[in-house]
Amino acid sequence: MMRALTALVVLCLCLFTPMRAQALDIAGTGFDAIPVLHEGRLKPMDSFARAMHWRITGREHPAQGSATQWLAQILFDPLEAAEMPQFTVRNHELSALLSLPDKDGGLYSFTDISAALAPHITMIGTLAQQDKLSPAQEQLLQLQKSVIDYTQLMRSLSLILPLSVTLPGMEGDDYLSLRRHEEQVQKKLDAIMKRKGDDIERYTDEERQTAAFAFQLAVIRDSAQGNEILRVIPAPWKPGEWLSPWAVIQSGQGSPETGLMMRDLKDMTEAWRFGDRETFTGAAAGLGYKTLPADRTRLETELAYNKAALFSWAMGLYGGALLLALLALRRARLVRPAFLLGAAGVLAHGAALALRVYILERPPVGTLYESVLFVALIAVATALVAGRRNPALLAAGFTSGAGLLFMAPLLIRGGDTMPVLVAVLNTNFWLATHVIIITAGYGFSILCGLAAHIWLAGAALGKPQSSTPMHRLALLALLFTTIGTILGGIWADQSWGRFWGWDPKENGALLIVLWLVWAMHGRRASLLRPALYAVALAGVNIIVALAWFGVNLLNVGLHSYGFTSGIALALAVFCAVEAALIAALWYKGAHRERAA
Amino acid sequence: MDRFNRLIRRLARPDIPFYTLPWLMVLLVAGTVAQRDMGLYAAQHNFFSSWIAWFGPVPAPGGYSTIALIGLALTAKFVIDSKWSWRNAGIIIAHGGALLLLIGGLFTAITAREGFVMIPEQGENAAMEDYHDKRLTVTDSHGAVLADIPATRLKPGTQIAAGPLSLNILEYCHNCTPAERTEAMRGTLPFVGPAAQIKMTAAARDINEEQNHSAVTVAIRGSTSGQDGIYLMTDIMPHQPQIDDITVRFGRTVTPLPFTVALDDVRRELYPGTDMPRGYESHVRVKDGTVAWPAVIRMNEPLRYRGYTLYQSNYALMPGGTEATVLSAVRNSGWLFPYIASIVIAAGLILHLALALRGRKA
Repeated sequence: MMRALTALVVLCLCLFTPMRAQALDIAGTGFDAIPVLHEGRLKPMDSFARAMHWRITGREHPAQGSATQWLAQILFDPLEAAEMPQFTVRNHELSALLSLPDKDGGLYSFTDISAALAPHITMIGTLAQQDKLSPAQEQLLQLQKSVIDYTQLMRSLSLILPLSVTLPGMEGDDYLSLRRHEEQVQKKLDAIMKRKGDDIERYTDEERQTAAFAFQLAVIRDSAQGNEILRVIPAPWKPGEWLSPWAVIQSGQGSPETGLMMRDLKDMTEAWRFGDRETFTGAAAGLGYKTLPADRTRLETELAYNKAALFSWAMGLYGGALLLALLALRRARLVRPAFLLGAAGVLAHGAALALRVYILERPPVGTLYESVLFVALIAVATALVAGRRNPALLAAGFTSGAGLLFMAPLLIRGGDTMPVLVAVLNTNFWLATHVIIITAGYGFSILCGLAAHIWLAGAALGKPQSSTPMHRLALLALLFTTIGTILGGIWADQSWGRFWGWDPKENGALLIVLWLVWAMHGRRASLLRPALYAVALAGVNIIVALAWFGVNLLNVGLHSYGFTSGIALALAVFCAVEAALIAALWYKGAHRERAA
Repeated sequence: MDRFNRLIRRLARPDIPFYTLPWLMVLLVAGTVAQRDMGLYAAQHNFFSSWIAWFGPVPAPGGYSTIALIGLALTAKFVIDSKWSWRNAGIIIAHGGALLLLIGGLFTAITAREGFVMIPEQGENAAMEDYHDKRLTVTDSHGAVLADIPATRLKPGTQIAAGPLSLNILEYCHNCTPAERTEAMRGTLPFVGPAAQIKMTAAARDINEEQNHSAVTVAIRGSTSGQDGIYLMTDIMPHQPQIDDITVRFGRTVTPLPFTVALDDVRRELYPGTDMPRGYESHVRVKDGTVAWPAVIRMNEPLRYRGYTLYQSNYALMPGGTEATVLSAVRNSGWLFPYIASIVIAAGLILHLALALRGRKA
C-alpha cells in the first residue's frame, strides 16, 4: 500500500507545471510573518519553518539561507524541492541497507530516499513496534518520519499549483478551480470506457486528454488525504481552530473569507513562478492581515525574537567575559571589563527570557530546555553579584553560563523551542513559584560547587582562598532547594493527592537538599575538616547533574515529561571527570598541607 | 532518670544525622534506580515505606528505620540542645519545621487511605477502589463478613474457614492470562461456572499496578445445596459465586465514601489542532443525605469534603462512547502538616541566611 502511495507522490509531482529554475528570494517580503497554527500554538511562519527544518534535517537552519526560504521552496516548487539534497545518511550500515550511491557529505534528495525506502516499508513498520533499536535502525525510523513530513509539506499547496494538463474550454489551471468539473469529466470518461473499454491506444487524442485529466484530478485529490500540516486558514465556524488549505475544501468549511485567503495563496504561487517580488509581498501581507487582523504584537515579537538570536549573543559575550576574567587573574584591572562584558551578556540573556515570557504568556521555565536557560542566567547573575572583584568566581560563573547555553539546544524536542505544556503543567502559579525557586536552587548550587572548586584549587596551588563565598552560596542553595522541594510537594498534593511519592524527580531534589544539609552539619560539628567540606560542596555539581538530567533517563513516575535520549553518556562522562578533578585537587592540597 | 538523660543527650549529638544521612541518600538512589525495573509502587514499598530494605537477598535498614532514627535525633536535639539565642534562632526554627514535617509524614503513613473513583457521565459513585489492595471476602446474607483475606495471603494450599464453608486455595496469580481449561474435575470436585472453561496462568507482573489482573481458583466445600466445586474469580469479572446464601467475592477493595459523587459532564480540552490534552475538568454534584450541590474538579484544583480530597486524575472513554472521569480519592487527616512545616522551615532558613549575611558567624 505504501509502495503505491509513494509511487502516487512521485506521479503527482509530474502533474504540475515545472517552475522557474531560480527561487524567489522571500527575505523582506513578509512571508515569514504569516500566522500558522502548529502543535497547539499560533506562531509566525518563521518559527514553523525552523521547527520543520529541525525535524527533517536535525538542524535549525540550512547552511545557506534561512529556514523560511527553504520552506517557501518546498511549498511553492515541490518539483524542485524533490531534487534538493536534504536528507543526511552517514551511517554505513543504513546506506548499505538502502543501496544508496556514494554522495558527497551523505546528502540525498527526496526522490532518491523515497525510492530507496519503498522496498523496506513493511520492515520499517515492524521496527516501529520494537523497544530496543540499533543506531542504524533508529536512524532509519527517523528518516522515514522526515520523508513523511517532507511529503506533507510538498503537498500542502498542491491544490493551487498549476496543472500540466487541462481541457479546453475550462477556466482555471489548478485543482481548486477545476474540481467543479470533476464529476462531469468523470461521467464523460465513464461513457468513453463503456464504448471503447480501457485500452488507451484505441482512444482519440481528445479522449486521451479527457482520461489523463480525470486521472490527474483523482490522483491529486487522493494523495492530499489528511494533509493538515500548513494550518494557515482560520476555520470560519470554529474560532481558535485553523485549517490547512486542503482541509478547508475537503471538510467543506469554506466561506467567502477563506476564498479570498486562497486567492492570496494563489497569487503568491504565481508571483513565485514569475519571480515577481512585489506581488508576492502584497499577497503575503494580504494573507497575514486577513487571517489575523488584530493582536499581532505577540506574533511580531516572536519574529523579532527569532531573528535576534539573543542566546547566541549571550553565549558569545560570556565567552569573551570568561577570557577577560581568566586574564584578570594576572592583571587585576581586567576585572572590571570582564564584569561589564558579563553584565552585557546577562542583559541579552535576561531579555531573551523576558521575551519568551511575553510570547508564551507563562513563566519562563516549563520544559527541560527552558530550565537550562534559566539556571544559566542564575549562575552568571549570582557570580556577578557575589564575585564583583573576584576574577576566579566570575570565571566560574561565565563558564557555567556559556557551557549551559551551549548545551541547551541538545534538549529541544521535536524542533520547537516553544512547545505547549502538558495538562498538569498548565498552571502559571506553580510554574512561577515551585519551578522558578527550585531551578534557582540548582543555579546557586552549581555556583556554590564552583566556588568550592576554586577553594580547592587555591589550596592545591598554595594560594589559600576564603571559604566565605562557598559557605554563603551553600546557605543560599540550601534555602532555595529546600523551599523549592517542599513547594513541589505541595503542588503534588494539590494535583495528585499526595505530598511525597518518592518518584525520581522528587528523590533527586531531596538528594541535593540532603547533600547540602549533610555537608553543612559536618562542618558545623567539626566532623568534616575544611578541605573535606570543600570536597563535599564541590561534589554538589555531580548531585545536581544527576538530579536534573539523570532522572529523566529513567522515564518513570508522574514526573516523566522531560525525557531525553543520548544524554546518558554525556552525564556519565561529566560525573567521572568532575569526580576525578575534585579528587585530584583535594589530593594536591592535602599533600601540600602535609609538606608544610 | 540519669540514664534517660544520658540517652537523650547521646541522641542529640550531630554525629547521628551525619552518619545516617548518607545512608538515606543511598536508599534514595537505590530506590530511584530500582523503579525502572520494579515499578514505582514496588520500589517504594521495598526501599522507602519499609523497616527493612532488601538489596536482592541482603537486608538493610529501610526508609522507616532510617527516618525514625533521624526523627529521634532531631527531637532530642530540639528538646535538649536548642537553647534560644538570636544567633541560633534561624536554625532552631528550621529544625522545628523539619520535625513538624516528619511528624506529619508519620501521621500520613499511619492514617492515610487512597483509591480511585470512576464515574461515567450521568452516573454516580459512592465508593472508592484500591487496586493495590485486592481481597477475597466471604459474606453471608446479612452482610456479616465471614472471612476477609488480603491477596498477599492467597497462596496455593491456604485453607480458609468461612462459616459453614471451607475454602482451599488451589491457584493464585497476581497477573494472569486466560487459557482454555481441559479438565472437567479435579479429584472429586467439578469445575463450576467460568472455571469450567477458563484457566488462569501466571504472566509477568506489569510495572503499572492497574494493568495487573489477578485471579484466584478456590475449592469450596461444605455446601448444603450440592454446590461444592472449584470456582474461578478475577478482579475484572463481576462473577461472585453464591453458595447457599453466602457470597464469595474476589476483587479490589471497595471503601464506601460518606457521600455520593454524580458526574454531570467531564471535559477534556485539547490544544487546538492536536490531540494533546490541555486540561481536564469534571462537573460533578456532591450528594450527602438530602443535600446536594455542584462542584468543579480540575487538574490542580481538587475538591475537599469530609476529610476526603478528590483529584482529577484521568479521563476515560468507555465502550459505547460514554465518557467517564477517573478521580483519585485520598483520605489524609495529616494533609495540613507539610503546608505549615514548609512555612516554618522557610522562615527559619531565611532568618538564618539573613543573620549569616549580616556578618554573624554561621
